[in-house]
Formats: sequence, structure tokens, C-alpha cells
Amino acid sequence: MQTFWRTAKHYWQIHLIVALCTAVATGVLAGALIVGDSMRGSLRDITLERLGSIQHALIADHFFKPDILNRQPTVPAILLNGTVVAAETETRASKVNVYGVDDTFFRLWKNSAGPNLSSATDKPFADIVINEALQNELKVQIGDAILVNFPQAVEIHPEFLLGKRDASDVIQRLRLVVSDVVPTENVGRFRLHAHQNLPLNAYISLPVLQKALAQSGKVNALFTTDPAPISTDMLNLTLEGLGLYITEHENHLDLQSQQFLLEPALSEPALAVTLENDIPTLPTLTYLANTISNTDSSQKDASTTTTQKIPYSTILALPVEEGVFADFLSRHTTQEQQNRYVQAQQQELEQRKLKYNEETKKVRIELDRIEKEITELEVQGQELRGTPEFTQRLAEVKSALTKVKSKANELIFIIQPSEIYLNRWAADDLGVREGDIINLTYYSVSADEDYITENAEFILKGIVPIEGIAADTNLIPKFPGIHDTTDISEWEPPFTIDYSLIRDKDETYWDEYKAMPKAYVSLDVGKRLWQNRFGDLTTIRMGTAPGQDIEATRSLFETEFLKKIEPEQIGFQFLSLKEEGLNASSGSTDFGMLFSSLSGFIIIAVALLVGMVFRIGVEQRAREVGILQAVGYTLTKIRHRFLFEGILITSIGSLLGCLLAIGYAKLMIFGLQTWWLPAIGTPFLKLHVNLLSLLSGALISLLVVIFSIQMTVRKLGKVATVSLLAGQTDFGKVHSKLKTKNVNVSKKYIIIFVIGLLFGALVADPIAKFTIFIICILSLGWTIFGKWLRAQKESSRLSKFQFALKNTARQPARSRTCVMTISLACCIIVAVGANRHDALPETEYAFVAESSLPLHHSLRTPDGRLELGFNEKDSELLSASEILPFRVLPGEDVSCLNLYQPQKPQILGASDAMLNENPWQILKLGNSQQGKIHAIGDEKSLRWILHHNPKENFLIQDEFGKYLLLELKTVDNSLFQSQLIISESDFKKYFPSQSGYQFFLIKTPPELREETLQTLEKTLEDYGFDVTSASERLASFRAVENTYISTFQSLGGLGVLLGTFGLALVLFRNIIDRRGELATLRAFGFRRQLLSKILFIESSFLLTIGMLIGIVAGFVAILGSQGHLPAFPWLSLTITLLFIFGFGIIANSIAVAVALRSPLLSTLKTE
Amino acid sequence: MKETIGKTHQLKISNLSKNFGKLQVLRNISFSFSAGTSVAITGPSGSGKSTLLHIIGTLEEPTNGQVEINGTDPFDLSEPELARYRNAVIGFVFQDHHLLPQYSVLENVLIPTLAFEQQPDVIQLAEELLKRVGLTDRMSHRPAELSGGERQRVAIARALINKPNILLCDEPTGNLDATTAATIADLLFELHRIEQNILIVVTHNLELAGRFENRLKLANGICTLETVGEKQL
Repeated sequence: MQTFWRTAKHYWQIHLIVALCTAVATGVLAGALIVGDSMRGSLRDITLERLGSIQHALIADHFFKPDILNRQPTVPAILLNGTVVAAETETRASKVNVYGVDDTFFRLWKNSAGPNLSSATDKPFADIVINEALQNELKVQIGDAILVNFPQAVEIHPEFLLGKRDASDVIQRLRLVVSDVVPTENVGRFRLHAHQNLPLNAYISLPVLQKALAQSGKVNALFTTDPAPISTDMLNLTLEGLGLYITEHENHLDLQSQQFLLEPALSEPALAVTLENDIPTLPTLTYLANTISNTDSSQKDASTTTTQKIPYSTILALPVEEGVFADFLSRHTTQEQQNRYVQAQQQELEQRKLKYNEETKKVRIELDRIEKEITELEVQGQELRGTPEFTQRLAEVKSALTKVKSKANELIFIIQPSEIYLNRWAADDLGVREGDIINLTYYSVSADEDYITENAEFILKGIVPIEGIAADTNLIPKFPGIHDTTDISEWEPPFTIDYSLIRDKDETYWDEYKAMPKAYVSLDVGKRLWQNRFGDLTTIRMGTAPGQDIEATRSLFETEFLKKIEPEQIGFQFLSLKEEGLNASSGSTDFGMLFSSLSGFIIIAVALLVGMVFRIGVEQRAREVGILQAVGYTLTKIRHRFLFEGILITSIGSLLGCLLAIGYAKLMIFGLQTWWLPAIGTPFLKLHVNLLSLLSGALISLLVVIFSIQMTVRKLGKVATVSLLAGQTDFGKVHSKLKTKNVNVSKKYIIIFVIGLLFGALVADPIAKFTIFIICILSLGWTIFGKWLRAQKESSRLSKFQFALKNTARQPARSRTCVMTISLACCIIVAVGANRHDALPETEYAFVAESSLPLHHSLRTPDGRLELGFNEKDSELLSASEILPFRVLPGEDVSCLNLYQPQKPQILGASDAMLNENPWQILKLGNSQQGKIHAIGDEKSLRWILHHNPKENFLIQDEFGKYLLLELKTVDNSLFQSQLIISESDFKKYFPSQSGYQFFLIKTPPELREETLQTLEKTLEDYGFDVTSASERLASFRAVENTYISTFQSLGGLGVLLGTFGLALVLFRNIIDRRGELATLRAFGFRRQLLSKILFIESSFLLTIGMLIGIVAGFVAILGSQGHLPAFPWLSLTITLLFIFGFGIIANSIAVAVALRSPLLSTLKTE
Repeated sequence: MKETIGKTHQLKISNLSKNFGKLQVLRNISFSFSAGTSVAITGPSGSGKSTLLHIIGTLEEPTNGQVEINGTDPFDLSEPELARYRNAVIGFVFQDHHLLPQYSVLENVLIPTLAFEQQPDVIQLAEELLKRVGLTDRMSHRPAELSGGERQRVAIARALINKPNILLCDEPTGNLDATTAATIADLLFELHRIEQNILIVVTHNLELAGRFENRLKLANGICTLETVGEKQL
């Protein structure tokens, strides 16, 4: 060890450089890992801060009573999204988290003093507390009034026929006074979904919000601080809690829903319970017909002529083949009536058969044509696969096939006429009898949430008296806005009523029978016509269970039914907020790995540098090695001696590097908080030093550097002892004798690289392709340069310039190392810089709009715009724009703007309006496999944020907690980097409770953009409608990308710095080594200035060659991997490269000046 | 410049002293040589042989005294003038040949011509010189492929490429075996005879020194000149 210290002291300069290089490598690598730790640690800190002591939550898409959860204590809350407007300035903030809370909520944060929030509900304007982020947005002070808009609680889904969807019905507005402002930390930072950005929060007293929502005593969220998770068995479910009620009658029970329709998640288990317990049931579906009319059967084929219309009647669909209604029918139907019906039915059937055959023939021809085209396309597909035109055509044809198949399925209903029964009153009113054709018109809700009038045709099978089951109004649930009116003219349904159709006798019927059905159809027919995503039954009537009375049956049913209910299927979510939040803190982007990867080439550069410096050190000590060999040291022992020295020196360097790492990490964090802020959005990062990362970084860099030293030391054995004693080593010396052999070796290498390039061209993965191209081109460049160095030919006429160039071949290994380091750094700078997009991206869409509250009327139609509050002029203005609406399933942002690891992506439902264009057509294709649908996602978001292979299916959970596979198609650099997209039909199927549209793409002519933006935001203010430029939105995604690129370029700059340092070092060392030669040149009359010039040209040549190889490799790799050169930031890249060149030139000049400062001529003396 | 300096090839040293700090290496040395003269400088190690040679070669300045070459004191010249002067008038051969390993033999010979404007016939001259030193077939080889003697021949050819008036050799045979050393010495004398320059050689080799017509013996800074008349060159 003593020997080591003496040696270390003697050769301190070289050892210091080796140690410093190792320190740089450790600093960069460990620093990168610390950046990752800091990112994770800071995200974790935010998670803990935003959740306080909350561990778990029970969240629901409906309101429930807090005592539903059999666990105490719990903290109740109402969580809503809304918009807030400052009453005085009209400054608006969208996407505000509106929380209804009480004191217990604030106590979840130990360090937070409860704000001043009165729970009094009798004040003219109740209190509201806001966080500082919202205060900054609204520019309001304590005491200022603000208006809060949030969604109104509704029993019936707005998109159901009876649901209300006008702004006044779905949006609740409260005027409140700011009573306190809390900092945007702790409770002020609370939000359910993980995101590093500062939330806009508003806190309203729970009773005040409950009152506004008419949900007294109810909440939609419960929080617990107990670490044990909330499980389904902790829920005290009740029928009332589920929005159900049972009406008990003498010998039967009627199960109905406050939402009118029994949702499948409830009706299915109810029917299962009745089946299991032998409880007789009568499931029914009630609907409202706009008109019932008869068609003159003798003229119906020529032109439909109606004789009489009964307006606005209840229709009941129920089992007619068996059960209570079948019995009722058999009692009230005569043989004569039956015969009349059978005769008419046969006539109808004959006519329909003819029509069916005709239609079937047409469909079959169309089907054959399309299937043939598909087959042809699929054959072509083997050659053309991947071209957008081919994909588009295939999607079109498949879509057409789906339509034709659907049409073929519908044909079956042509042949079999549906049957209808009228009550006596209706039959008499229409003057019809068995066998007559009856027409029904009714409303349905279109995809755009418009009411459309549908039509259905029936054969009248029977006429029933108004008695028994046909006089039982209990089967009819309460029609909101209808059932409690005294006259039809008082009805206030959400749809349009033509009051002119209502006759006196209709009012008389209403007076006498209220909503008693006038017509009955089979349940199958009823479901086919009227079932929707909200349900297909309105009442389940149950008899008594065998051996049980009605009370016992009710009790049995309730018990068994509630056991069968899966809370997740009825909108409850059990969230382990803390655990999920901490898991998400691992981050969508592993900054540690990112920076480590970015620093990877610096480690390589350092390794090369250390290898070179160590080699210089060994060369310096060639005589020492020779002497050791001469006195009997074995080569292995000498190697170990050097290696030991290397390990000790680099270990010291590595320790030093640990300190450097902390400094480096601090610098990077500072960069991320300032220069590169777009990458993280909010300056929240704090330094978190993890000892393990520090040691890992130190160890890895140490191993790399030691490996480099080991490779140097291994070469020692190739030098003869005599040469060593003479102070010579053969490290990288010129070997002209090897010239021929080297040329052959180079050719071999060139062939390998060409094969590598060809292989790279065949690789599909762009990153792998890019990497292969870079490796091949760089290696090829280095090999050619190496060959050039070794195969210097004699000049026909030696010039000063050639003289300088040839000097680079004096120490080929050193020259090559410099060129490698510089080219590596330049290649990175070029390749990365090429992906930088400074220009504002272009998109065909003018705007992207998001609405805090869903829109239930179409912006695409004049009627819809009128309903949404646009005046005629504004509506006309909007008609010049194409507006594509999307449904939204709330979830996490999956774009690079979210640093947390998203676990539940936001899903968009793309409306049919946009599914005719590529690539959206893919969403129109049905999927034969249950639970698997087509989806579109952005390639970058999938790969880098969700860490998902885009070629594999993505798994999500539907609204009922069932797994749903998304078969993905990817888009690049799209506006949809924050979400995954499915078709609207799939969206409605799997997420039926979501209503309205909250995301919009808008195409607007440039000259109308500003006006359109203003109009939309102003008119839809209550909805929190925010319009942003589509280009700017794309730019915000690109800003993150550009920031990463800047980071990478900065590290590339560091690489260049190291390369230049290496170059200067080589130059310096070369001058020292060549002092004798240089002195000889001086003796021959070379002036110092000329020597400087020659040396400068020599090093500049290396710099230029290194840069050229790097630049060419970068360009070729981009060209090879992308197939074209992207829109290139030529200016910034040229400036960067010129800066690098300039820096290198200056460094070289300094090195030359310093090295030539010492007297050369003294070296010529022999004594 | 060579032409203006004159054709008499006169080297005159007057009262030359050289101190390194307090150590006086050379004391009041004076001598004068003209074209065609060969001089051996001998003396024990550290006696100032190389220093004297370097002062004559204008690589070092004397502390006192004057050096006149063809009537000019080179140390009165500016740095660029001195460089040009040295390039034109003086040729050097060192013990360690200081050949540039990355260049061929021919290129090494041509290197001194790069310092200033090249004459058009330099390559021909270099080839001729290499022919004279017996390396015609080694012109495209690199120094690493040559023997020690061959390398020194290249160094001699290089020293003569600009036809110097004075050829200074610092232990030119110091690293060579006796036979090779004798061959190199023969070559030096042969070329000296042809070029008629002033040949000054520093050597420890008394046998070699004995072959020179003039011998400067240095001891304790004092120089003794011994002229033995024309020897067999």
C-alpha cells in the first residue's frame, strides 16, 4: 500500500485525471439515479400530502347514505366536478373539484387547521373555501361572491327517454361567498386521481351541498383512515339504497326502480333469486307510445291510410304465451276472435314471405359481393399490408359487411308479424278488431341524444276488457312529470308533446284510468323495441314462494337478492387510495432510467477516456514495467499491480463521484424546475438521495472504468522487455508492416457493418432499427478512420497541411479514442436534435374543447344548439364548423403530461360522425369475441407512459367491474395522447351510466376561429366549456418531448465536453511525447508559430472527423429508421454543432499553447 | 538568406561563456573555422559539449561572448529571422535521431523543407541524398522498419536537405554498435567532403574524434583546440 501511495504521488497528474474521470462517470450515473429517486420521492410526497391520513375510499356514481358502510369512523363527502365563476369579474375556472365536506374531512390532515367554513344552510349565501390555486385562477379574495356550477343529481339517466337533459335540469348553480382560502398543500392539494399539477379545489359545507342536490343525508364518497381495506361485505346494502322499492299487495309484490327502468345489474339477480326460490314472476316493460293507430288493411300496400289515432298511451310488454296474462287472455278470447286473427295472420304471412324472399335475395347478393371483395383484399393484404389506403378500404368493406349482416338479421322480423292486444277502450276508439293492423309510434333517443320518432307495425291479436291484470296500474312505475298530473295537458315530460292530438276522451280516460296501458305486446317484442342500455324491465311482479306468505316471500327475496348484488356492478368503487397512489408514484416515466440511459454514452465516453489516460500512464511507466520484468516479476503480477492501482484510484474517484452525483442531481432537478419545466409541469421536485442508488451508480461506473483499465493492462504483455526498458510501448504505435492485414480486416468489418445495416433495415421496431443503424454507422466510421490511420500512404508532395494530418496517425489509438468520443456525442446530438419539433405543429382541427359538465344536446344540429342556448346567429356561425363530440369516462391522463403511472386511463367514446375516416374506421368493426373491442391509442402514450406494447391488447375494467380487452390500433403524435378511444356504441354498452359529451374536436375555417371560440366559451360557460387551440395542445405534448431532447442534448454537450477534454489531453500528451521531434523541427527552423499551427490543424482534424462521423451516423440512423428525414431544426442544430466545433477549437488552442509553453530545445541535449 | 550570408562559411566564436545559474559551463571560449573544416568536440560528461553545439546551432544563447557565422551574429536576428537562418544555414544530427514514425524515410528527409517555401526540386534532392546515404531502396519505408544505423543515415540526409553551411552532430554514433558507428562516421566524412560545409561533431568516441582535423577538448568550461592538419576523411 505504501508503494501505491508513493506511485500515486509520483504520477499524480495521470492518477488525478483517472480519478476525476471516474468521478464524472459516477457523478453522472449515480446522479441520474438520484434524479429518478427524487422524482419518485417527490411524487410520493405529493401522494402522502394530498391524501393526508386517508387510506381507503368508497366512491359511487350515485348518492348513498353514509351508514351503508359497516365500518366506523368514516369521513363522508360529496365529490363533484364543476366550474366556478367570480361573480364580480366573471373570471372562470373549469375542471374544479367541488367537495362537499364537514369538519371531519379537514381533520384528515394533521397539520391543517380547519378553515372557516360554516355549515349553516339558512344563510342567504353559504360559505365556500377555495385553495390558493383556484384563488389565483379566479383572482378573488375572502368575502367575494362566486358562482359554482356542478351536475345536478338526477334519478333518471339523462339519455333515457324520460331523463331530463336541459341545462337547467342537469346543472345546479350556487352563489356562495369565499370564507377562507387554504394553501395548495395538504387538504388544499386533495384530489382522487394522481397528478403532479396543482388541483383547483373548492370546499362547500356538506349540508349545503346536500340541500342543493336534494340529497339530504347522502354522499357519494366515504373515506377511512384504517389501513385495512374496505371490502364488499362491509356494505349494508338495502333496496332503498339501491334505488329500488317493493310495493306489497295482497298476494304479490312489485319490484320497481326510482330510475323507472330496472338496470340489468339489478333485474338479473332479482330474476335469478325468484327462479332459485320458485317464486312466480311477471317481468314487465312499460313504454310510452306517441300514437296508436290502425291501418286500413285493404290499402296498406298502396299507401298507408290511418283512420284514428290515440295519443300518448302506455304500452305494457309482458309474457303473453304463459302466465297470468296468458290465462287472462284465454278467459277473454272467443274462438271466433281467434279464427279471425289466424286468418288475418296467414294472409299477412303470405305477403310478408314474398317481401322477405325479395329482400333476402338482395341481401344475399350484396353479402356475396362484399365477402368476395374481402377475400380479394385479404389476399392482396399479404403484399399490401400496412398501406393506409389498403387498411381504409378493408375497414370500409368490413363495415359494409357488418351492416348487411345486421340487415339480414332484421329480416326475420319481416316474416313474423308482431302481435298486439288492445284494451276494449282503445279497440273501440280505433274501431278495430282481431286481425287488423295496428301502428305504434314512439320516441327513442338517438346517438346524438335527440328524440326520434320510431314506428312499429302489429297485428291485433286480441281485445281485452279493462279488468283484472288489464286494469292493474300497479304494474306501471311512476312516470316522472306525468304520473301525478290531473290532466294530460299538465304533463311535463322531457320530450315534446303535441297537445293538439289530445282529445277530450283521452282526458276522460286519464281521469278514469290514469296511466293504465291501452295496449299489450309480448315481452320479447317490447324488449326488441324499447330496451336500452339502462334496462329492459320496469317491474318485476312476484307471487309468493312455495309455503310462504307474502311477508315471508318479501323477506326471503330481499335477503337473497341483496346477497347477490355485487357493489362494483352498481357503481361502487373500493379504492385503496394510499396504496394505489404510492404505486403510481413509481412514475410513468422513470426519470432515473431516462437520465441513466441518456447518460449511458457519457459513461462509455468516460470509459474510453479513462482507458486512454490509463494507457498514457502505463506508457509513461514503460521503463518501470521493463525493469520489473527484467528483475523477475511475472507479467501477471505486473498486471495485477497496475490493476490494483487502477482499482484504488478509481475507487477514490468513485467516492468523489458520489459527492458529485448529489451536485449533479441537484443541477438536474434545478434544470427540471426551470429550463426543462415542461417535462414535469409543476416545480414540485425535491432532492431525495437514496444510498442504494448512490452505491449502484458508483459500483456500475467503477466496474465500467475498471474493465477499461483491465483491457489496457492486458495489452502490456505484447511489448518486449527490451522495448519497455527503452521507454517504448507498442500501444497504438504505427505498424506499417500490418498494413496489408489491416486492410483485409477492415474489409471484413465493412462487410459485417453492411450486413448489420441490412439487418437493421429489416427490423420493424423503430428504436431497435435506430440503435442498429447508429452502431453500424459509427463502427463503420471508426473502422474506416482506424484503417486510414494505419494505412498512411507516402505523399507525392508533402505539404504543411498533409504533414499535420499525418501526425494524427502517430498515436492511432489516442486519435481513435478522441474521434470515437466526439462522434458518439455528436451522433447523439444530431439524432436527438432531429426529433425536436420547435415549430407549432399543424393539425386539421382548429380546436380541442373539454367541458367540465357533460353536454346532452348536439352541437352539430340547429335544434341541439338551440337547446344549449345558442341564438340563431351563433348557431349559424357554428354551422360553419365541424364539431366531433366524444363521450368521456373519467380517468387518468395517460399522456406525458402526467408523471404518475396511470392505472385507470381516461376513455373517450368516438361518435359515429368521425368513424368514416381512417384510422377511426377500425372502431366501427364489431368484434366477435365477447369482452373484446377495438380501440385506438397514441403510440407514445401506450409505449412510454402506460408501458404497454401497442401490439398487445390492453386490459381495462368496464363499469360493472368486468374485464374488457382493447384490441389496439395506434396513432402517432395525435391529439389523443391523454386518452384511449373506443367507439361510442361500445362506450354506451360498457359504460352505460356515463352520459353526454365532454370532449370535442372542432374544425373551423381560419377566419372564423376567434369568433367561434368566443361564442362557444361564452354560451357554454355554465358547462365549463374550455376551448384550446389544437396546435397548442399538440405543442404541449411536444414541449415535453422537446424538453427530454433538450436534456439529452445537454448531456450530449457534456459528452462533447468530455470528448474535447480527451482531445485536448491527447494533444497535450502527444506534444509531451513528441518533445524531441518537435525540438528537432525547431532546430530545423520551424518557428513556434508554425509548430502551433501544425498541432492545431492536427487536433482540429480529429475534431472534424469525429464530428463528421457522428453527424453522418445521426442522419443515416434517422433516415434508416424513419424512412425519411423529418422536418429538421436546421438552425438550432447547426448552431449547436458550430458551438461544439468552436469549443473544441478553443480547447485545442489552449492545449497547444500550454504544451508549447515549456522549452523544447533542451530535450535535444544528450547531456 | 544563405546566399547573402556569403560563401566563405566562416564560423567565429569570441569569448563565449555560458552559465546555468551559478554554474559556469563554458568560459571565454574563442575559435574560428572556415568552410570545409571538420571539428570534433570532446570532453567528459557535463563538460558543456552539447551546450556549445547548441549555441553554435543557435538553439541556445550564450551568456557572454559572440557567435559570428559568415560575419553575422545570429542572436541579433529576430525570432522569425533566426528560424529561417537556422533552416538555411545549419543542419542537425542528434544521437536520438528524432525521426517522425508516421512518415516514410523520404518524407522525413523532406520535413525541414516544410518550414518555409519549398524549392521545386526538393524531392529530387531528397532522393539524391538518400541515394548518397545508401537508402534508395528504403525510401518508402517507415523509421520503425529501419535499423539504428539506417535511421541515423536518414537523419543525416534530413540534416543536409537544405544544404547547410554548418552540420552539427550530437553523438551521432552514440547509440550504434562499433561497426555501424564507423559506417556512419565514414558517411559523414564523405558527405562533408562533397558538401564542403563546416562539420562539427560532439562525441565521446576518441577513435572517431581522432579522425577529425580539429579537436576541441572541453574540460571545466575551458576549451583547448587541437589542430592536426587534414586527416583522412
